[in-house]
Amino acid sequence: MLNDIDKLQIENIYSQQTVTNADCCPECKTLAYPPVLVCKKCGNRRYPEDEVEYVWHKKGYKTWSKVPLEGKCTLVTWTRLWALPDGFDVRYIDFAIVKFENGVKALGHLDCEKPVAGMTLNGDTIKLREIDGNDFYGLIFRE
Amino acid sequence: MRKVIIAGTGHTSFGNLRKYKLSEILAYAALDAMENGGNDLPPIDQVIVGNMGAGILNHQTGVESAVVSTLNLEPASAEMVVNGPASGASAFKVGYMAIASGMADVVLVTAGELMRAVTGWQATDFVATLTHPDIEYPYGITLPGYAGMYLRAYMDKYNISDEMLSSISVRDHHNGMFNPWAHVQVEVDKEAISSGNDAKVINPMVAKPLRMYHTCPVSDGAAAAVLVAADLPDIQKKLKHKPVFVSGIGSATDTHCVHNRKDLLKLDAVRLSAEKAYKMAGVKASDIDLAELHDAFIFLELCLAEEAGLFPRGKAIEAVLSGKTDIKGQIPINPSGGLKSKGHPVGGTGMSQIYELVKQLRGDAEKERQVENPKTAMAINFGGFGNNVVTTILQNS
Amino acid sequence: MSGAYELELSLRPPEIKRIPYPSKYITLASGEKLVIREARREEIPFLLEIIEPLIRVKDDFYDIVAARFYAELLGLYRYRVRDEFCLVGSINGVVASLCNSRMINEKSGMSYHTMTVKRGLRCGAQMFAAKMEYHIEYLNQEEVYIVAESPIGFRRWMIEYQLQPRFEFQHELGGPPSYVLTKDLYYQTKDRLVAGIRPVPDELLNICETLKGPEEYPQIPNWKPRWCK
Repeated sequence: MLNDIDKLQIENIYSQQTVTNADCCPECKTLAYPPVLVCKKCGNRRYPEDEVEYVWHKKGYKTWSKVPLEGKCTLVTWTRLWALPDGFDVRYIDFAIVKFENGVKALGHLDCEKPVAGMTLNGDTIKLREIDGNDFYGLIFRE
Repeated sequence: MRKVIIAGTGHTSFGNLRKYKLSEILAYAALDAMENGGNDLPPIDQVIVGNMGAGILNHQTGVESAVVSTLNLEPASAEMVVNGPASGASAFKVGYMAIASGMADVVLVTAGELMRAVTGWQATDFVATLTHPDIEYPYGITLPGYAGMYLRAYMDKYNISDEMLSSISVRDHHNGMFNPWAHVQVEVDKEAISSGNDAKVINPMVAKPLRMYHTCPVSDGAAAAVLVAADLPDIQKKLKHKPVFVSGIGSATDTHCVHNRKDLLKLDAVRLSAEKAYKMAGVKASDIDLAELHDAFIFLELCLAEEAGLFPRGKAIEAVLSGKTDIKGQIPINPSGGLKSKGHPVGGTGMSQIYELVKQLRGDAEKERQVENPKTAMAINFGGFGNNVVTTILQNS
Repeated sequence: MSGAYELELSLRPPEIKRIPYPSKYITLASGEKLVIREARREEIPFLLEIIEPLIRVKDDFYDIVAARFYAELLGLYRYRVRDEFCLVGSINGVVASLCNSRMINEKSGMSYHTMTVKRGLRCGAQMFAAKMEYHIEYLNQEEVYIVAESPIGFRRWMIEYQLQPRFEFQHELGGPPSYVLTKDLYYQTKDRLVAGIRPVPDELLNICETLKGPEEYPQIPNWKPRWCK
């Protein structure tokens, strides 16, 4: 479970927002994960929300909303990775690709004893590791 | 567009070359290609270098300039092409475009990588930087990790066993024994690595169900080619070897994040790049006499062959098991030993595949792995995990 | 004369009685059989000849490992190192890999070195595993202290076996603080890392009865050892 400090960290760090949320196009409501600058379905464009004064920032621009990635999802495929890259001192990590009910697919860590493709899991956000002194909050999928 | 001929090719050993600099091994391969092309060719006016990790692995940038100076090729134009593990084929494509467009007459393309300058974990981390920096990389996912996930789905769908995959390893390692440049020259026993008593230990899991003998080694090495315009005056007289023509090149991309693929088991970029190359060359899949397929993970050979239309989906493994992909088979695949045995210096692999195709089309390969009378040969260079793929078709007539 | 003999005896370390290492064989990826057995004392001079050329190879810390291994085996041969043993791995009787270690006391072992001449088949990993197997399963020890000269090799063991730090203990090889493989850790990883079948068939044992030197050293290109000239 995330405490208030964890939640504040996730809210305040742009890259963390990218990990734990999909972006929703204000025109056609298509979800994008990771964020895109041009909607795949309707071609609507996305501009940096905090750069209000940019010359190409149009009037009437609607910001893209965030949809948290959490809750029920279906396991697509998974692996136990033994050959980890530099920076990891554990023997292995379980990874999974899942599909959420809203159609968004995502990669995350897997916490499940006997995974089977097609099974239902629950997606959550937890602190997974530290990178260069900064906490990384990512998705984990559990039974 | 002008026709382009491959006049000369060069190659270094693949393996541990870390006592050299990156620009040196690129230059060695280039020198080999220049000598192979002969002294009668016009001067080189364009150098293209293919590489992925110079800045990260070797702390060296501006490598293309270093290569030009090492070979005393000033004032030739020089650029570097970066496309992950497809850098080699992309560099070749840019070299081809330079001549085909009329901007250059003689182009030297050299591509390579010096991966063993760092530890295996750092090399794995470096390749993992191909993934999305926010939603993939921080998890610790690597390309073998994606290969493991893909292989699981592929094995389940097409009922492929571990032992069947080991057959590919055996064939690749056997071919590699006759390739003087190959990194791993060891014959591999199928039972020993799949069902033997000690298989679990000597062939451990890398990313379940992907095992160690299903993955390529981390290698250093480089390969190069000298390309010339076919319409240069008296060029045929100046060629030292039988001309090999660049007939078709195609490239395509797919989603950056692997999980966003429409169908996880379809590699659209491979299919589209192959279709473009076939169209440009005016050939079909059935015209291909031999193929070098990017088997960084050996099952990729099956997937690439199927996407390129060489075999129906799910049926490539049958072709392997029946010997159709052996040197004397109907469509030999990876006569060089593939990435599995030959090695995989990521940025250099594409050019190494082209080197092999040229050798085969000229009839110059070692007799144990020379394919009989090939006319049309194909190489597929797979960037990322299918993010960016380049297909090249060469012909000797 | 008797004075010299007594002096010699006083310079020799006392020995802990131990059962000999039970030989085993491992089928490598090439299909070849790596037979691992304990080296006999009379074979050590030949093993020293096999190790000696690698003292000149700077890459991958071969020089320091070979130099120290040479000294340790010489100490074993001349009865100057306490409770040391050497395991040799051979393929068709040709030495492929070696390792050595010693017992500190009945409870604890001190891993010394592992060295491979034949590359490309992970023989070194099997020798290291065999050494740990001997300490824990056959000598019934509780733990084995481990350090390494090669940072890459050490990190591989540290992660694969999940070694525990035991920094308060200074390993005999000096250098960095020590790690330890405990009985529990060994059994957690045994299934994945320790291979081999016993007993070794007679025909395999007979072949490796008389050890032969390797025909080439991949670490020293274009050089042939004495027994190949």
